[in-house]
Amino acid sequence: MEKLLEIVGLKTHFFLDNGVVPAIDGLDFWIGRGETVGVVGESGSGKSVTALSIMGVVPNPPGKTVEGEILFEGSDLLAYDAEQMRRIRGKEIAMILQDPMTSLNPVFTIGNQIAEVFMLHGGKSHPEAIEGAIEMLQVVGIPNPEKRVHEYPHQLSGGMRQRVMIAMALSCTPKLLIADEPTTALDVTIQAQTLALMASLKDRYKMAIMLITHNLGIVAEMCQRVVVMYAGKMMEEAEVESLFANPMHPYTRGLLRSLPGVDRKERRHQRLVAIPGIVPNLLNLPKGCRFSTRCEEHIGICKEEEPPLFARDRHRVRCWLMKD
Amino acid sequence: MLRRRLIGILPVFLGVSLIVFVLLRLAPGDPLSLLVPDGSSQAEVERIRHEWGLDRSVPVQYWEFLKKATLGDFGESYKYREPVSKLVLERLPATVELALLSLLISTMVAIPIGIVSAVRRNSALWDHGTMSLALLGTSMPPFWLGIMLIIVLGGQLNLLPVGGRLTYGIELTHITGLYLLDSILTLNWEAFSDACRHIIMPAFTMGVVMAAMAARITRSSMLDVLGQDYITTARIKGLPERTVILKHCLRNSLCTIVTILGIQLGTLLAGSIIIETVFSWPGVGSLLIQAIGYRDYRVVQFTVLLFAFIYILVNLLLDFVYTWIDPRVRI
Repeated sequence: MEKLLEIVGLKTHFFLDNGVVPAIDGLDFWIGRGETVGVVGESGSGKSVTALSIMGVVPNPPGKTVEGEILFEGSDLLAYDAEQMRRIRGKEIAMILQDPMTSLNPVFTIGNQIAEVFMLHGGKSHPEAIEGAIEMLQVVGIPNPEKRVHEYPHQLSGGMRQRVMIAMALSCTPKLLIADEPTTALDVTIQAQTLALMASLKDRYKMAIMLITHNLGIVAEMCQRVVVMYAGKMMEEAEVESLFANPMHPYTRGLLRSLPGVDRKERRHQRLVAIPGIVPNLLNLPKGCRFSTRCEEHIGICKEEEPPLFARDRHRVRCWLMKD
Repeated sequence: MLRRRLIGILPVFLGVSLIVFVLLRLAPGDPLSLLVPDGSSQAEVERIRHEWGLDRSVPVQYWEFLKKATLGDFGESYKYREPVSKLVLERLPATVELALLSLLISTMVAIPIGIVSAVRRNSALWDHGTMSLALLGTSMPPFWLGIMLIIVLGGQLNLLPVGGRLTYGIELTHITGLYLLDSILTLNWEAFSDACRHIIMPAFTMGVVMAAMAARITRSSMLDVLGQDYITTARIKGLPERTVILKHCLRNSLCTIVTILGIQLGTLLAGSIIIETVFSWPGVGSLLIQAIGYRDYRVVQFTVLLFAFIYILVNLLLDFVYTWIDPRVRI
């Protein structure tokens, strides 16, 4: 598959008064054209910072991408100046934020907020852009778009607002859509609708999606490939079927075990198995593998030396157990 | 809704008038010293006291005042023997002109500084530097700054006139009573430059102190909005940073900034009493301070009610501005 986006050795650090937080500490993965890749991990594993790094909007100060390459269609976005990057943002790569209740500007109509994208990247006049906004609202399934286009965010429900965010993101038919936990803040029924909408629009616009989530159920449903992140590093990467059937990293296995199984009879009466402990403080990472403090299968070398990525059966796994 | 707001104003006026009325009469001193010629007999004094209605009990006097006030009659000044409304309103343009110019100076200085220091947060010059200046500005008493300016610019360097609105002898046709505006309207450039030279020191003195506070509020309000998700949304759309700051961020900070400007108008009216006295500015504030000195009750009563009226009017106006700024606000 042709690589649309490739991240090589990415490091984004936050420079705080009490030390440097390596939120992303050497990340490598890629997304193919038209492919949906899930990025999963606990809170604080660096998923959102990865997204912000790709978009070039890491809050600076204190954050800064210090090393690595972000190759989009072969050219390094990190080498772009502010103006070049601005033309990529919203046009070639778009993004949806997690909470639709806070991610729309409360003082402008939703029509104007969508129209801005058309005027900025499409060079359209305001009336044309409003026409475009109405069309996009129609595409994302908002009823009565001619009227809704003049409404303010507070007049819309959460699900509707997320549809507006999707409409805004897709206005310029981006090649890559980054969705940062797009359904976390929504009701379960609305979650399903929103995901179905994203899946259908993905086919319609033939775009790639980087889906950030901590919900493995969504990953199973939407993605072709998965990247599992832990404390700023990729721990395992594989195709979805393969990852669920044969998780190789103890952390991935832990994540899968901690899912409640409603449909599986044998698990219905079992207690959920949680991964013991918490994500390590990024200011004070353990020596060796960063998961070793919580890993039940660790061996001697785990606490001594950081494991590299091992390739096994089309998986890439960062674990000493996979050596030879 | 507007009608309800207007009805709500009435008790405010009643309250303000009652408080002023009672406080004035509780204060020591007697307006009769203004009314009675030197060397009058005791009988003469009592006759004059009765004539002006000052021998009646305070509640009765208040009732008489209210009855006349509803008809727009606030009585004659003891000192000037003129209707107080005419006396005060004649001097109102001077105060309004000074207040508007101070507010303009404050806004023009404070909002850009607040924005820049929020955007360049923690930079030595743009943030720490300007905010230290702002702290200096807020902690400096305006009358002291005024006196210093008079001593240095007016006295030692002899650059600017130290009092009044216009040099004696310069002709100016009065249209609005705002000298700067009048001189522009009549294309009288001599009067314009002279009026400018007179107003600049008092306006600067009041403007600086207000700007310092407004700049700090603007900064913190901008910082608050800059951390919101919708600012990230604006950035990931690919909007230029200038649009993100001046459109998406500023529009959301405006509510707070406008509130501060409204409060500052109150400060301006109160502050005018001090500044007008320091710069012998012939406005309502300096009249008020004289009237308090002479116990010219009626002038004080009318002026305080007028200030209350202006304050209420401005706040009503602000409420309409809010609805324009933020669609979530409805009166």
